[in-house]
Amino acid sequence: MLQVTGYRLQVKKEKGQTLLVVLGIIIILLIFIPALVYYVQQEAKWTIKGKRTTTAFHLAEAGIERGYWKLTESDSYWDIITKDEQQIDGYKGDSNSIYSDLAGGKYKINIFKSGVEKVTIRSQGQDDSTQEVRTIEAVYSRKAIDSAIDAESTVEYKPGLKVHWGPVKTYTSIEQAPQQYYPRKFSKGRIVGRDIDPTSPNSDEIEYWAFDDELGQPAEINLAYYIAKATSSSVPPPRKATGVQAANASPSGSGYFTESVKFRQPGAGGGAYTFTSSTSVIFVNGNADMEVNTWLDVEALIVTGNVDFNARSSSYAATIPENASEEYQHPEALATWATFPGNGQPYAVTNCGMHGFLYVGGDLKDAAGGGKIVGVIRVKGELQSNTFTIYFDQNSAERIETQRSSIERDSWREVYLSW
Amino acid sequence: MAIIKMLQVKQEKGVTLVELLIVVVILGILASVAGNLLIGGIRFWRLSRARTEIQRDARTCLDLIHRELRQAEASSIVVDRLDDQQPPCSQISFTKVVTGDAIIYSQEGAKLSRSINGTKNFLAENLRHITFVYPRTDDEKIIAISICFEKETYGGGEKSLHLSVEKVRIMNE
Repeated sequence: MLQVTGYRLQVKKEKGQTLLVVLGIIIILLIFIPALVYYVQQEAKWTIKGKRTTTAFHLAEAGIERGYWKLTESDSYWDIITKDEQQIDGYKGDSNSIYSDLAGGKYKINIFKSGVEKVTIRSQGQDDSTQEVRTIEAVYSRKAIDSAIDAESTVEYKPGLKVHWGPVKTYTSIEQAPQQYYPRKFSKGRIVGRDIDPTSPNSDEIEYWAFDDELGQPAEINLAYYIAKATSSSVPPPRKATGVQAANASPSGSGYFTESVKFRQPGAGGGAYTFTSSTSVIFVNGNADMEVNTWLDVEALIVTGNVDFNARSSSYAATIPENASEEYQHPEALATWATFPGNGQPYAVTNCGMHGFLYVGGDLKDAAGGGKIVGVIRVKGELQSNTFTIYFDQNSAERIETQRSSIERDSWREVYLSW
Repeated sequence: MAIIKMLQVKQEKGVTLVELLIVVVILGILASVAGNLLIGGIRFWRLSRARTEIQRDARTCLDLIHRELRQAEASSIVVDRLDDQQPPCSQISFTKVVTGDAIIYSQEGAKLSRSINGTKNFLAENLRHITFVYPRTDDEKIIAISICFEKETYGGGEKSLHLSVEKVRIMNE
């Protein structure tokens, strides 16, 4: 009897414990599991969404990088796109321009001309798992020279130096106070007479910009292009630097001179040197002495050494650049601007020595004074001209050939396009 | 036989007082535990939901700001605040490259607003603060964004907080 009773109670006790545990677990599960599931679901959803769009974006970025390196691979690619208005195989935005070398998806590159000396790289990245697409467009331009004087070293802004229609830029400093309040002056260092203290403000936002880091690095001139152009140009030889003999050209009769020259006709009693050919280039591997009676109308005169520029013998029918008035916004400069007929108007420059691009690898001076040029001057050494006048020529500036290393990004943005 | 018969009789009679008391005690324990669990569960649910919502808002807002800010012209960026009632550095305005759209993100109390060319809309509520700073004084093309959302979960006491910090590289001068 006792055994039976004990057996009965033992059985009931075990059943109760199980019920308690089971009920507890069920309650916990019912309360917490839905909340946890909800939380995990939301988290997973946002994480996956973020990953997919990030993958597509990174693929698009990779395409931009690939396109940029293709552009810088050779100078010819830039010219193919901008001058020939063609596209590079594999970078046309077609089925041959899709790359799958990165995990997670693919990207498509389209490189095309988007303006004068401007190239757009459009890259689309697509995530493999969701086909999500993101597109980036970056516009690049090859750094050009857009100033009347582009000086890598210091500029001695002597009282007789007059620059019209285009700004003066120096990647070092202006070491003598400019007397004229035209044109605009940009300097990576100080501008004596305007601002010699690096502490901001460093500009009047009208006439001068000192300690201007936005100037960046000077554009690299493509000397190889000019050598090639000079060797294919037909140019009458000037004299050697000393004596009356003709300077050596290579090949003979070309515009590539292997020694210093004096711009005067060779031979005893040789007359003034004049040469007009807007598509020709004269390349002087040495110094150049430009006498008073010289007249050159060329695409470019490239001199690797020093230049003594005294030429002022002819008249030239120039065209004032469209935005020339920007150079005369200072109150002190308004009267000077009033002497010109206006933006885009013709203007006869008298007593002119040259029209075109003048590149000076050494220093530029004008010992006799009075030199005058319509065009653009790029000087690597110092500019120490006395009475010297420069009229900026937009056409000459746009024709200057710079190297691929001068390619810079103008803009970067995301656009919404389908694959 | 007699033993079996006796057991059958006992089962038919129902439960004893002791058994009944045990059941009552068990139910009482269960009820008290379940109540606490239920309240805790509801709190946990609300907290999870609030956290999820503000995380979603933070991610969405940061993603949008990041995308647009990358396309800004660095020289056009101005960090300020909407008015004296808002925290310092809680507003950023800039111009998007190419399109020239004028974009402004600003904190207005507990709301985050986005204005494009003067047309404003609100992106999120429950904003505690948003701060835009230049982490490097020598590089105007990096902006750090700190965003914090806060939401009450129950009884005005417990709050859920979420803080995100992100650095953005501006791609245009």
